[in-house]
Amino acid sequence: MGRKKKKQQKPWCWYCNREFDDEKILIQHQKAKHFKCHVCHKKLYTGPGLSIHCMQVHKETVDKVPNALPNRNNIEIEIYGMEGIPEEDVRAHEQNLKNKGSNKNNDDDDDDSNPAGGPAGPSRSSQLHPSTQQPFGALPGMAGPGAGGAGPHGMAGPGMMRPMGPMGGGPGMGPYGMHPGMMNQMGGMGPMGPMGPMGPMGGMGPMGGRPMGMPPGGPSRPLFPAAQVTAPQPGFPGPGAGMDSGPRPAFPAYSQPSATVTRPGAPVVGAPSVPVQGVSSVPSMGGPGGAPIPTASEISRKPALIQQGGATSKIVHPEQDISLEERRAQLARYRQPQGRGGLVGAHQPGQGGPMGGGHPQGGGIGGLRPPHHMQQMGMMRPGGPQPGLLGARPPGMAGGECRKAG
Amino acid sequence: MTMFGTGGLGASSSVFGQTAAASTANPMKDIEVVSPPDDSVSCLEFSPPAVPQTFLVAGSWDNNVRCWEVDQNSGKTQPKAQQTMGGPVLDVAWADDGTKVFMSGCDNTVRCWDLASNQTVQVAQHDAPVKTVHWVKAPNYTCIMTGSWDKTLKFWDTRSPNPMMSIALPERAYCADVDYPMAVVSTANRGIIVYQLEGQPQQFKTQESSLRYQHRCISIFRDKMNRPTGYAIGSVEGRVAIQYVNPANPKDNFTFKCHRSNGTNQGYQDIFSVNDIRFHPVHGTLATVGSDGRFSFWDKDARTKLKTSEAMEQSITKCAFNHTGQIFAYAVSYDWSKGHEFYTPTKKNYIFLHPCFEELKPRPKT
Repeated sequence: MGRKKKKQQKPWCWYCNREFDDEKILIQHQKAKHFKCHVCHKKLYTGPGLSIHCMQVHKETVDKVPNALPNRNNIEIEIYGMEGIPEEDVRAHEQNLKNKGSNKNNDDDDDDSNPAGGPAGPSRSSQLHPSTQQPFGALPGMAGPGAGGAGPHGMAGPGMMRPMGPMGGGPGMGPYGMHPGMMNQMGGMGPMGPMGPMGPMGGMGPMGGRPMGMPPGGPSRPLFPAAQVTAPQPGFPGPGAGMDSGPRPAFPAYSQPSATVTRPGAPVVGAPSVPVQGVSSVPSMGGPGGAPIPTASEISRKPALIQQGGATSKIVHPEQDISLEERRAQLARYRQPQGRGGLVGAHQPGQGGPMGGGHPQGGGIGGLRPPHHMQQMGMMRPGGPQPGLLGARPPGMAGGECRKAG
Repeated sequence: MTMFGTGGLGASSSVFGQTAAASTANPMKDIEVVSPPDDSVSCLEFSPPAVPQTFLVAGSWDNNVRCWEVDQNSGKTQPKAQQTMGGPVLDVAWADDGTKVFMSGCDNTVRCWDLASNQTVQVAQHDAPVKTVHWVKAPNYTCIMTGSWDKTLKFWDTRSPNPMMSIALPERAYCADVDYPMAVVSTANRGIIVYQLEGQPQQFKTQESSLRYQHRCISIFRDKMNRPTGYAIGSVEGRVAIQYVNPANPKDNFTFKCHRSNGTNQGYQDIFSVNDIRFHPVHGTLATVGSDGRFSFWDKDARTKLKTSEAMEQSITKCAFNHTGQIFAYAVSYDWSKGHEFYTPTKKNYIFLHPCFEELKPRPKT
């Protein structure tokens, strides 16, 4: 656009970063998604309002704004539409918009500070809590790259917020400052980077030598088509060779900065270790080598997680992003020592023997889920041929001694 | 509503003469295959046209591959034979002449089952479970293609213990399909690689996925001239992408949502994995089966849904069409989508046969 307009361009929701055409719609959205009482479904007007309502009417405390990004769920911040949004967040948001639009990330942030709260209207008693906005509070203070780093976080995309959030956790800011900077240099992948959960970008990269520097989608493409979860996307650009990944930013923001850092080399996200190790055990995740030390919140994401859609929908799939078959195959009852392939017909029920013996990680099994269920499954059932049943095998028991059936 | 034997069904021939009783286990009143596997069904394939009878082969997590003969007219099934692998079976494939069945599994091998002699022999080896096996019949060679979690795709002339070709994959192979001269493999991290099998297998191109979640199944479809031209991929997020290898128009590619509960669960929408996709051999329409325990039929050209079934008691893990397109087989067993807590070993696994020729007819274009 010709002259830089100072007012906010499109209203956006501070809680979840979604954009709207109209502030009215934004307010409706906030009332329905963020200010709705979970008990009686009454729609309040603000976060504090919701908190007060729940306390008085239901005697319940609400400490977090529902459906909000984890770094944006402070219930005491009074936001109504576009009013009440803390300045730094406003600025950060605009940075993101600029970064996205300019197809090249990480130009020095122009500190055109927009006055907060675009549309006119008496601002409510805005209790700005800069301190609570840990990541964003920090960023504008950082150098350009840092601000660029804020970009991806801020613009995690409408509807994709929740997953982004944890990445924005305070301690995470440190590494972020670096990564987005790095990624930005890759050219265009930056903003998408943190959002590439299963390292989709990572997968793409090694896969076909698809250049990392894929430009973000042209202005014509909706930034986050994923946000429009509702309709199938007939216009969805085909994946033909040479198609850039414009709409890709719509990735449910996995925000694995460390993953993206290792992207150039490794198939990301702990993938190498996944098939073999116990999946969810945090300690076993070596993490892609060379990545900056991930924070606690990031460590828990190492085995790429399938991001849930949020409060209104839930993917019926275990969290870790490994195939169901891999998950199942790790279970003791299905485990086979390698190289047994030559023997056929020998493996009838109670194959006992080396069953699972080779699996060194009791922790791996334990990592799968609650132990007691394992035991139930482990019971010998006289009737059916159950390959690999070895009696109760509580996880954590080293594989070594479990030879006895039942 | 009975599916069998009423007017308009399978007018040409082969209508199942009998009706099954509806039950919660069989809400579609389909024919139940006798002696089903004792654990979840991981793969399901009908015999090729070269064989006059109709055989159905299913691999299971109980390490066995079972073969039934299916009577096309009555739908009756009869167990014929069974073989066992060294670990859970992950995939099965028929040779095009119908004399052999290949089975691959968690014991890292692929075995060839000669049906006439009822003997098996190992024909391939990987360093990790072999997730996919497909028969490749080219004018100048035949082989099997095996995809494994060891991130390789190998081609084997089954007479030799060494692969004729080994191609590195960017990630673990999750699903694959072959329709000469095209092959496509999808890996973890949503990789898609298309191969060209003419002359010798070689990588043709990698493509981006329109799906943002883990890929689970893939199936090649043909164009109006019966040439393989694209594929359908299903993900764990209740979505299928139709992608062309060379789309004439970017809008040719699209995705659609499926296997979702649509907010019926306390306002939540449950989103289920698409476990398998198959194209009807005659109509070119497709079927999807999901963790929600339903199957759906779709017309991708009219971009419309043709039908959705009632929900089974467990997820549907696999499906298959026989070569005439009369029978749609689907396996109801636990797919692990809710983790091991929801695994009930005592729950029966089913394979149902559903007459489908009429239901899968494409929507007339208006």
